[in-house]
Amino acid sequence: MTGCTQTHEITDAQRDTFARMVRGRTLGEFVFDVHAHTCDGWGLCCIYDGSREALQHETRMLGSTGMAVSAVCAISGIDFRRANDALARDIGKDDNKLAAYVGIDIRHGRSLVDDTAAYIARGFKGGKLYTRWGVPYDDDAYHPVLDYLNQLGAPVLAHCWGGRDITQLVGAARKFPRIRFIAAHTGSPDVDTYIRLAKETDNLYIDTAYSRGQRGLIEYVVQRLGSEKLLFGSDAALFSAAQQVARVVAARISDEDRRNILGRNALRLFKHLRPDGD
Amino acid sequence: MIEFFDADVLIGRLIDQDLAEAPTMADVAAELARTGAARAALVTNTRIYLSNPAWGNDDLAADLDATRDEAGVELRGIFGLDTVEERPGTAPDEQIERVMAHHAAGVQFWPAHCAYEFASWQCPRLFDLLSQRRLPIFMHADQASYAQLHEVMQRFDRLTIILQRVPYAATRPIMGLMRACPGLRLCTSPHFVGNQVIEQFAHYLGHERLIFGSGLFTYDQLPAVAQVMYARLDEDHKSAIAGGNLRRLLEAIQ
Repeated sequence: MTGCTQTHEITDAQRDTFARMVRGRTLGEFVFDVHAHTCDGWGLCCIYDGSREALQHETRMLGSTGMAVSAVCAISGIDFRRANDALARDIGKDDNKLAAYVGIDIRHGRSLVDDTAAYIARGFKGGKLYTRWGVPYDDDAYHPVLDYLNQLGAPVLAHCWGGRDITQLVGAARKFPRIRFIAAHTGSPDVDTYIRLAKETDNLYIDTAYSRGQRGLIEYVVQRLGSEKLLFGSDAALFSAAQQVARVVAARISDEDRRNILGRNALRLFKHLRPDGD
Repeated sequence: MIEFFDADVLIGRLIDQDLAEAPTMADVAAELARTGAARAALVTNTRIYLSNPAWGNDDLAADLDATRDEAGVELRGIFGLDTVEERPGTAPDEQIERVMAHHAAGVQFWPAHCAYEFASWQCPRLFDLLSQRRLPIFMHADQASYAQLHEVMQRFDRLTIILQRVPYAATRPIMGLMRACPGLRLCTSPHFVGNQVIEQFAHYLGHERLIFGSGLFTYDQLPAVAQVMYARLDEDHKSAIAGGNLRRLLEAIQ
């Protein structure tokens, strides 16, 4: 995947985007990030500034059109309500560039449907699932809340790390066909399983967020899957959004493929849900 | 425009890689031209740790000679060393003279790959000479433990070590280690992807201790460039991280 035999003639548009990036300018590309978080820090890494303002600094610098976010504490810790509430306050006061996912607490014991509906009523646009709780995505425990999100036709972002997680997610995707599921972290183990399942499953998309984004990974996926089901995700504010965008910009793919991944595909998923309706 | 000087480029064949896919010095020059951010890079090769440092050094020197006239590209080598000081031909002063004859920018240590300890007792004369010559040690973060790095840097406090390919989850220990070891520098890389880690380390430890590196050809160069260029730092600080700090270290080599 990291070899030097990939041939790709750089296009004028790509050259222009490179030139903008090496000067730290806005990209001049439509960028919609489907995988971001607001956060104050968590166990795995030390966050310098995980505020909404810091996220928006990144979107402004890059000229991004939007970001879909969840509160990181609502996916990695135990403070779902607190984190979702904080995010609700954030999305209520910004310039409509943030679309929020409800962090779904599968082990809380309360009614997940009522909780999730309350946040949807406050402007959230989808759900975020996480595997740490040891409940497989295709477990019956998820059915009520996924059934609710299915009725809305909402997007659901799911942390996945390898073939087992994404296979379980496909189990849910088959039961809830109106939900657009986004499996996170393409490049984590079993990338070929990601590709195969995204190809086979109409309502399954995969995102690019990955801390070890090797040279050639984006190209590998596009060659085997095409670019229509691969979505740009940064995992900001855990990761640098600029660094993650640059992985896509640097890839030896066509302008059309790059534009699909950076934003066009996400636009199809989020368009009718965007607060301003654009 | 800020000029980048890439301190982390590895060429040569990996064990599980076809020879035809192995990156070469010509690929380095082509990639610098493609990205357009850097015209200078420090390069080392896989043969130094997969075969023999002396063979790797010979290849590296020959590759550098062959690209010396490459228009507009400045490439220097990071060479390998044998850490058994007693073997014929591996006396530290002899080894250092040999790599200095190739205008070495530093030496690459591979203790985990090459089954030696990164410890002050492993090669004390070598560490002493490297300190005297102010020749930097480059090392991937997975090659030594934090405790080993700390032990060596406490014993040889004039050593410069540039730690490459640090994982993002290591932010906290690396920050503590750098505080305890003033000679330790952090090389940026696309594996150290934490949001605002550049700003964070610059703020707490000083931008002078950050060195730009891309991790070519495991990673593309542009992501590492973007992480610096979009950082919330003054242009002067970005410029220092991009290349100025490395150039100062190279000028200090004796």
